Amino acid sequence: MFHVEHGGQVTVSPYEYPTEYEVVVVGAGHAGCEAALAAARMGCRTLLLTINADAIGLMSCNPAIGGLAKGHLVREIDALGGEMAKNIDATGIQFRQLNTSKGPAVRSSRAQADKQLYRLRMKQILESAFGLDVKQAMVDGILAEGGRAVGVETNLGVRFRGKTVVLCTGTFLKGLVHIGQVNFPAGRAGEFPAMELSDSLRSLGFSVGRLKTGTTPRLDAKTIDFSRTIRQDGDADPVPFSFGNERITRPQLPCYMTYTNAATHEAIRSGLSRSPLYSGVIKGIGPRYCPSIEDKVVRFEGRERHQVFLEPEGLRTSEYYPNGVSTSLPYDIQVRMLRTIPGLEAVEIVRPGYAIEYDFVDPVQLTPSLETRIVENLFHAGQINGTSGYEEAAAQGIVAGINAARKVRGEPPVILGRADAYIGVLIDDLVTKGAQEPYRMFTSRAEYRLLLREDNADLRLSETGHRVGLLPGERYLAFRRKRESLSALLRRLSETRVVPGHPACRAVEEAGGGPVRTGITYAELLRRPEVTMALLLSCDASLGEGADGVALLAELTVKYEGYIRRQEEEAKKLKKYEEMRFPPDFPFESVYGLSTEVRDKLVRVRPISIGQAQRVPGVTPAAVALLLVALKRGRVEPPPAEE
Amino acid sequence: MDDAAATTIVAPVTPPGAGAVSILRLSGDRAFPIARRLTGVDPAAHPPRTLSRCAARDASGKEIDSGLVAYFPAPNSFTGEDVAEIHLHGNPILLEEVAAAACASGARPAEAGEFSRRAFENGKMDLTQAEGLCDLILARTAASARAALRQLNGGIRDAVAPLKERMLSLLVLLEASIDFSDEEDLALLSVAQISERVSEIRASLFAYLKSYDLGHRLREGATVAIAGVANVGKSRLLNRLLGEERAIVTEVPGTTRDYLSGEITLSGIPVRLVDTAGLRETEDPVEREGVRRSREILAGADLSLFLLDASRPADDGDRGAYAEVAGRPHLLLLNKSDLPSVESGKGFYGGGSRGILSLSAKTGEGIAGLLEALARELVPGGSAMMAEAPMTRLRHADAVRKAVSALERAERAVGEGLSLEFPAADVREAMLALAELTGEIAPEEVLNSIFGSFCIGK
Ligand SMILES: Cc1cc2nc3c(=O)[nH]c(=O)nc-3n(C[C@H](O)[C@H](O)[C@H](O)COP(=O)(O)OP(=O)(O)OC[C@H]3O[C@@H](n4cnc5c(N)ncnc54)[C@H](O)[C@@H]3O)c2cc1C
Ligand SMILES: Nc1nc2c(ncn2[C@@H]2O[C@H](COP(=O)(O)OP(=O)(O)OP(=O)(O)O)[C@@H](O)[C@H]2O)c(=O)[nH]1
Ligand SMILES: [Mg+2]
Repeated sequence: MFHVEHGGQVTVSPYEYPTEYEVVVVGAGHAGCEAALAAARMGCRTLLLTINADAIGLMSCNPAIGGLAKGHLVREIDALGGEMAKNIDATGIQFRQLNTSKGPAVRSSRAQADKQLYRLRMKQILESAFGLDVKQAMVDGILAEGGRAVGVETNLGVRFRGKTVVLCTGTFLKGLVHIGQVNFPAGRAGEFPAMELSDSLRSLGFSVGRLKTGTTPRLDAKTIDFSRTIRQDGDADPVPFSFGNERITRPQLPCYMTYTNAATHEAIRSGLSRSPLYSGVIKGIGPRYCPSIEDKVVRFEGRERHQVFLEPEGLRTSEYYPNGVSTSLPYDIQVRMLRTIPGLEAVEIVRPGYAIEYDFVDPVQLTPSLETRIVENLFHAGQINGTSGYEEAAAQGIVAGINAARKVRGEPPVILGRADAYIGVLIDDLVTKGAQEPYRMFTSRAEYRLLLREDNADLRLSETGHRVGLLPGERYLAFRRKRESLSALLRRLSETRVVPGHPACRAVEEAGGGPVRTGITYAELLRRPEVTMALLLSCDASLGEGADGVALLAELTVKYEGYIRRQEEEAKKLKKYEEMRFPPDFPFESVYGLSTEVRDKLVRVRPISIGQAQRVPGVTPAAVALLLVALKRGRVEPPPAEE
Repeated sequence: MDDAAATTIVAPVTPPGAGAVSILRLSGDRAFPIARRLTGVDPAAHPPRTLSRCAARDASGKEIDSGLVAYFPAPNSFTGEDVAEIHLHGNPILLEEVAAAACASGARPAEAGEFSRRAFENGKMDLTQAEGLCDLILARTAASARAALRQLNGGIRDAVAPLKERMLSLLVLLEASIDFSDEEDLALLSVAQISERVSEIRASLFAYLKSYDLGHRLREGATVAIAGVANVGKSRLLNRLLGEERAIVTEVPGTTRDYLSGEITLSGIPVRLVDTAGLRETEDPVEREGVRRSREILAGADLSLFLLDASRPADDGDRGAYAEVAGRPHLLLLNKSDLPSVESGKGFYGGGSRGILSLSAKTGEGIAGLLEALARELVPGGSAMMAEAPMTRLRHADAVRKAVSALERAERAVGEGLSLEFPAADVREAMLALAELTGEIAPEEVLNSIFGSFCIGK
């Protein structure tokens, strides 16, 4: 390799790297790690390139995995054979089941991670994966030939050839960090940004936009007076994320709760004129659901206080993450503001909070397999698609990894439906509606929420994980056993008839249920509001002989049968439309009768099915009817005009 | 042709056949240039939506007819596209010639329902409005036309829109408390407030559902059968109600062999009255066939008028015939009140307390009372319903019924203490049902059948 100097700039003549890869993944964040692992585990020769090999699987923001709707994603990733659940199970320091008082569909798991252990374990898993090379490199451009990606080029002029390329670059594309009026390019605080790659994408024809997000300062535990806060422990019996793990053995740490007050809000207001958000320096669109503390104070003026959780960043660090005070206010204001909060009167900041603006690539330019429509064999996953959150990133990562590997093998992509998984909802939303602001998962985004629960993620997706070759054999067998024992239990519940006076009937009556007058099946008993599986188990221990978790599943299946059935029926209807596929070259431009406006929208998204077309915003039912006609009759051209 | 969306369509919008004036409509991107070529009237030089005199010419410049033309620029037109309407003398041949000239200039004949479809497609009307238009054109009475017009003007949509709004705001609160329950003290609804809101919405929807009773009658009309044994005066009653001597009336039992009918308007509803052959067992094959047909009519009627001859005691024949209507909506009438009365009708109606009407088909006595009773039976709620836009189709009632039962489930779920995702699922379902009503998410079959039933040119 030799360097040529001209015009003050160093041009590097390219070095063709001798190994040809099948899948090249750019970025070892949460998306990239899952993508690379999936591709390698599926047998592809895989390369993972990342800017800093010490920052693999690093949590940029809150050191926690899961939460409402996100816990669902983690379990789905696990059911497909991904790594995130196993990684948090191994490195979690506080596990909590959220919404336990609420319904089964919205119960979620969340766990605090030891940030360093989390990243180290992930790195180790990657390093020990067969067929996967991990290298530190700054990718500057996509190599494309004839509309196809064939590899990437780094800032050192190295060309890595790959049959497919998966971009998982997170917040790094032209990342710009803001703290008060100060701003500087960075991928996240303390790391190089990727300044070239998004221009390479632009020149390939992608439309690139700009979003913004932010994080909290990190605090030194030695300077926090925890006695002035409220201690919050995790669950006494932590439940693992992975269906393959039985228990969590690592010692658990508490969190602490405190509140902002009028003095805090006053301090914040005094800094607004120097806030990059309020002085108009930041142009990127931030997430509405995850506002900075300055946003909260301005938007909810009447609010007297806001909650702050103090969460440990790990077992061997004194850094704490004050959840709830994400900010990009100037440094002095951050200090002043924090020191008004009970427990934080003498706090020292280790790292200041900041906002970051970054380039993203509007995901309507993708197909539901996460391959771009503009450059074949190029896939995008994670925050580059406008999402925010580790779980959202990892969920896309595993799908992109699977589909890149399948593309290499000439197999059709795996596309999860909206009634199959939150992952399906996530990707469908992204590629159908695009991202106008950072996209985060919520349970309300899933119209079949009652079907998509954490507790049945394995039942929903293990078959797919197995079919694509990701889910290890023993996990698949365990799933089969569980499914069989669930159907056996359901059969027993609906077939076992007990008569009044039976212990189960007496137990029900004692539990406050109405008297049992005639013979009744267990299932009928279970349908009564006051009856639980635990109650039946206490009378008939043999019901508990099945696999783990089956009793709960059976209870939900029986208790909410009507709801589940109705949603299943809806889902079946939906499926019909999802299965009406447009051929890949379907000419939306010339479908007879469509208005220009609707046609433009369809051309922008190029839905793969009638079902997806229906969900494109602005596509009217009448337009859908026209598409159906065109699809069925193959009549895309207008009928011949009488000339 | 290069661009499907730009296709310009043409068709007459007035009924086929000769009339004083016929109107030809052009719609689409090229409607203006084509109309200009046909009429010589420059759309830019004339105010929109006003008539200008013109001479309609064919491609060779030969004058076909003299008439008027009006331009409706998009989006302020029926279809939401550029629309030109050419008024011609009402001769189908002229119309055809001008339409052919339009096609020669690049338009093509509109398919059935295509103007409406484009209007719907361009958001100019929702599904209920499109139906309203169809009904307006087919309306048989002034009241039916009024109901259809209200529907065309978006009456049904306007009636359900506020309910949909309320469901949405309820759903938003439910979803918020599900998805943001980890947030601090979000001000949310108590269980009691939720069920109160759900039941309010359900009650309003249910009240609206009642309008279907009138609405579908306005659209479809009603069939009233006149039944009874031979010689009780059925045919004479028909004639009396129609005000004309439609049926043959004689003192010979078994006069009416086949059913016959006539139409009257009752509270705005088109009512078909059907006189049937007297119900009795007989050997005469012709009369037997008549009785069979009577039974068919009775089975399909919205209401039967069962006649007894009050001047003689009811016998087993009457009771046997009555058994055939007893299970269906009916009124019991004692005819021939001008003669001395020997039959009170007690013992019919299962001894129930509903009113028995006494009347005379001969003198007309009691007929006014009968008409009132008929109106009451056919239009429960009466003309009070006329204030709003009634639902007119089974499809509407089904959608609203679906919504109502989903909301009932939501109430039950809240009552049983199920967690919020369950009532939320129900409220969603209810909203979906209403969205189907206005066609926001109409399944293809609904759309196809609706548009398929349009006559050309609307
Ligand atoms: C300041 C900040 C605040 C955040 N706040 C929140 C929040 O409040 N809530 C929330 O849910 N999420 C938040 N996140 C988002 C969360 O961190 C991301 O959504 C998630 O990490 C995205 O995962 P990813 O895999 O897409 O990208 P990242 O985790 O960002 O990883 C990107 C990886 O790509 C590598 N890379 C990038 N460009 C190149 C290149 N050209 N060549 C080689 N390697 C490259 C990087 O080195 C890095 O390893 C925040 C992130 C930041 C930075
Ligand atoms: N006095 C009196 N005679 C009536 C009245 N209604 C009908 N009649 C007479 O009763 C006889 C039978 O009348 P129709 O109307 O033919 O009876 P119908 O029920 O149609 O008989 P069929 O067609 O034979 O079944 C005729 O002579 C009528 O003039 C009434 O209200 N008063
Ligand atoms: Mg007669």
